[in-house]
Amino acid sequence: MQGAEGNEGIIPRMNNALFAKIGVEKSAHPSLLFLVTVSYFEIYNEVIFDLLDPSDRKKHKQAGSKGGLEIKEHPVLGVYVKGLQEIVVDNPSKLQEIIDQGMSNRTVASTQMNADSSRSHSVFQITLHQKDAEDETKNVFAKVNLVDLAGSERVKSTGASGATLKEGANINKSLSELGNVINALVEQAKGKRAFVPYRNSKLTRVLQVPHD
Amino acid sequence: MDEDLAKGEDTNVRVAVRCRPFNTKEKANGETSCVRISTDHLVLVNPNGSGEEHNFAFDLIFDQNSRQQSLWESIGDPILLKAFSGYNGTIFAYGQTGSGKTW
Repeated sequence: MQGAEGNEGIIPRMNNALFAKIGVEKSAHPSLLFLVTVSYFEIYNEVIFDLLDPSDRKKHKQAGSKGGLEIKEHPVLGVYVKGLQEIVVDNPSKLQEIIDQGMSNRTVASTQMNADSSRSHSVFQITLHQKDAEDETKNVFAKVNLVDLAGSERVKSTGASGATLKEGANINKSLSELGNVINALVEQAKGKRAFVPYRNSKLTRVLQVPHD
Repeated sequence: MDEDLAKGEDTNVRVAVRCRPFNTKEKANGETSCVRISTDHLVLVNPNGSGEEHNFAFDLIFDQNSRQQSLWESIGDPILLKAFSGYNGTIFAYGQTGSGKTW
């Protein structure tokens, strides 16, 4: 989704289009207020690591625990990742800097963990808040998630052992749980009753939105 | 409610496929494509010449010559516009390592 220079993918295009549109909206309605925040994290072996806070991984490693950030549920705001950095951005260059920083942290971390960034899911979240200084009732909020999933190739269990086998099993499971959630959402949209098993994996839990 | 909604919008989940062009190594090996693209489905053809084929339907199909701009227009831009109306959106890039998710 990143693309390359000269062949920019969805992420840089969304970045530029987001701020361009904010500019257009503000010109048309000067009383509008916008706030953009971003988060960037990865899920490896069902553990969430903040890609915008490299000390996160060190801290947890030192503590000797499995590490990572926890998912919590707020009665009104819904599901959120506790302690995840949310950085305010007001221009596309700053947003791109953050993406680059996150991607570089991902590579460094994967080397340290003797893993490969293709073995984790990365989630880039942009939240857009809109308010109107002249109309208190207007308060719009939306989240856009750009998810680069772990490689879908099946890790062969023969010859694999220990960490590699566990890694492969976790990826296979979280991809199939994602499939289950999507199928259930499609059934619901068709008007059928379906239970959506968000809780079966970190990825689906973290992307869950509160139901109205 | 379904009758009011336009085609492609009835489930608010869309699945797109994009095929990447051959890389240098694949070209050097003279590889042939095992994919045939129709308007709304993709056919996987067994390269062993047996005639075995499998069809897959998608909401959007992008072939080996597709440009980044066209994916932005069909996939990225609509999600961004919906965000300004307060709708959440998620785009997943799914595929084998090396298939082009980062691209």
